[in-house]
Amino acid sequence: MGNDRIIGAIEIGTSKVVVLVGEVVGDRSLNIVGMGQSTSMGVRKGEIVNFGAASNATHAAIMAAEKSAGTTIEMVYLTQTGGHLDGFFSFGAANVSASDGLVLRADIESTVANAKRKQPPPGRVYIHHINNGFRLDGRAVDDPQTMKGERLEVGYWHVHGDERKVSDQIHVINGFGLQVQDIILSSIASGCMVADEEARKSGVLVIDIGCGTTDYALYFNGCVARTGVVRIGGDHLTNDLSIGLRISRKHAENLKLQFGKAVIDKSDKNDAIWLFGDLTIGDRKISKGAIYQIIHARVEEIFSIIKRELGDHLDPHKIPAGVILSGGCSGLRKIAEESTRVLGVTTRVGENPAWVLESVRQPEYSSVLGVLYYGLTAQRTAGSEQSERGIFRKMARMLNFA
Amino acid sequence: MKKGETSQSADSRDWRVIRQSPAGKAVTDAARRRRRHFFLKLAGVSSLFVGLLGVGTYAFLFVFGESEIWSMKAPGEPLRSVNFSSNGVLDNVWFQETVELPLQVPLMGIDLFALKGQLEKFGQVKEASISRAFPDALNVEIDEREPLFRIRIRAQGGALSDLLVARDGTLFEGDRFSRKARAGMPYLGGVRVVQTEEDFLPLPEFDQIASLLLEARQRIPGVARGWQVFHLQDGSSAPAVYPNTLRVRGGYVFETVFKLDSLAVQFDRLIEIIHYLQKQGVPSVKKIDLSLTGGVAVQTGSSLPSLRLLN
Repeated sequence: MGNDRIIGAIEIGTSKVVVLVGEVVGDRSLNIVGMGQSTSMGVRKGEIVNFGAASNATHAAIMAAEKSAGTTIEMVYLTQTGGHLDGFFSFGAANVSASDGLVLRADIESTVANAKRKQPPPGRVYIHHINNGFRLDGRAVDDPQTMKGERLEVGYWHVHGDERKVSDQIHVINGFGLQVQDIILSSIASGCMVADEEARKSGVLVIDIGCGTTDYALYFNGCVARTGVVRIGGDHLTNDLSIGLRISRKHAENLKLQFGKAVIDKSDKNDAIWLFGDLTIGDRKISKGAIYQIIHARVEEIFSIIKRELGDHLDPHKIPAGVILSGGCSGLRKIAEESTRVLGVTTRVGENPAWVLESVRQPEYSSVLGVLYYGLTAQRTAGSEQSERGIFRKMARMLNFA
Repeated sequence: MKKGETSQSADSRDWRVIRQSPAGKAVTDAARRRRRHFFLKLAGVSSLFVGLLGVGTYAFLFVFGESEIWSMKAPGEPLRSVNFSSNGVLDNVWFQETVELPLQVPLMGIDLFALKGQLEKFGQVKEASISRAFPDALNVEIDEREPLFRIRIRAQGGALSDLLVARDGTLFEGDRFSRKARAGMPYLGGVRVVQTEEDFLPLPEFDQIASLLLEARQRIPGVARGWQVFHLQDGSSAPAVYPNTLRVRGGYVFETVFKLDSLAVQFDRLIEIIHYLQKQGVPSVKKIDLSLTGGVAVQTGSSLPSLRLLN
């Protein structure tokens, strides 16, 4: 119980800012003790375009979260999304140095350093280096140390982003007097929640359809093999409806939420709905078929882009656990059906674990929950460092200091 | 570095190269409010901590500590010298014997007012001014009373002793006055000396007698030098309870009698008479009585009528 910590998970999304406050108890369990939420401002497609507005919205959400938790956040884990994110795969290899052919720690470090050697393009910074597994003389091994072989190889998936855009998000958090402990890709965070370990080991594609962007993460053998961000999200569906049906965004959003569906059924063609439903001026009938057609087109586009980006990696045999949808837009009716049709892989809408509070169990909270979960695992690895400061931290906690 | 792990590399450009702003920088009202709240809480907790620490320390000392007297130490170095000066006969030795300042007393530890009072208790000292001369000296300036007369009194044990009388009637023993200096002062008789526990009270209304002597020393120094006794008495031969007559004996005029009412007029007349007599070649005069109403009686030797009454 000596290493209790209060951590905060923050997602600065296009439609809303969500902050979860978690209490890491003894580096083993996590209690969600507070939550704050505010309407996002100054954020477009996951990127900050108005620093002041984004700061106000984020800080209001943090304040609300701290108030509901009755404590102050000690460290922050931040989700990262946006079209600026990109990734590439690299290999590193080294010959085993020992004469007896046993792999030493130095050999592993040398192989890993070799894989990470490549610098990101100018103006960009790495977000993650994700280890995709070692190969010793061509055979896959989890931990090659003290195994016998001649040549050690390792594959890494590197995620990088625009330095200024990443720095904007960090400085929004800094502006509240908090330091960012780590940044986690939104799709990876969602994957932690909606895909269990078995699914990740057997292979699964997690697609998080948010308001401004759609993030995906492809898992092979329990590792993140590919990630990506499509700059289209639920907000585009609303825009399309607004323009296509010539109605306001507000009404378009209502139509999407009430009647939205990702596929067009033959029976829907003749159905119509009233725009307002109160026969006031401007109220008119709108064909459901038109709504579905517009939504379907955009949803199909999203999945098509993902399919194109993943290319050969999107093989139903490689991802037997199928596709899992998460994010706010995954609540759209029959979206899994459309995904299955376009991607050619069985799709289901993901669910957050049962241990999660009911108020945050919806798929739209997957990524922020995932970040909080990531914070727990990060605390486990940093456990030894924390114990040194345990007494002071305990005192600070008693006095409710951050 | 295990499979599936995410990590950062020290060699590559990680997001951690982005410099995070200091924790104290607040950009929104919410952040400022939180920061203010934090500092208020910090100040409160710090005060509480300091208070508890103080109470704890006090309690510890109270229980385990030995009582210790804390005293203020006067600044400045110990007294090493006294710069003594006087307009009279008193000197540094007299000062040391009289005052007895302890050695190595801190300069700032000397009570100047007490010392001044101690010095001025001596009748011979009219006024004493004392000041510190940093770092280690004391300046003492004495204004002494000038004695004009001497007076012989009988102490309680019956022994006779001489006191000196200053112009203002103050009586004092007259330390450091030589025998010769004392011999030059006329005796004063016929006055009542009142002694208190420590001292003698000054003689009342003594100024006119002192002025007479001082003026005589200026205007008829030859005559005044010979004056040996000033005796006060009333008209009868009984001891002077309320004296109204002054008899001055000695010198050119053996006895001069003044009435105390108008000494200045009588003195002027005396000077005229003496000049006249000296001009006449009278070698000595037995008596000049200036106390008579309407004239002066002069009693001379054989060459002149023995008693003349001058108007």
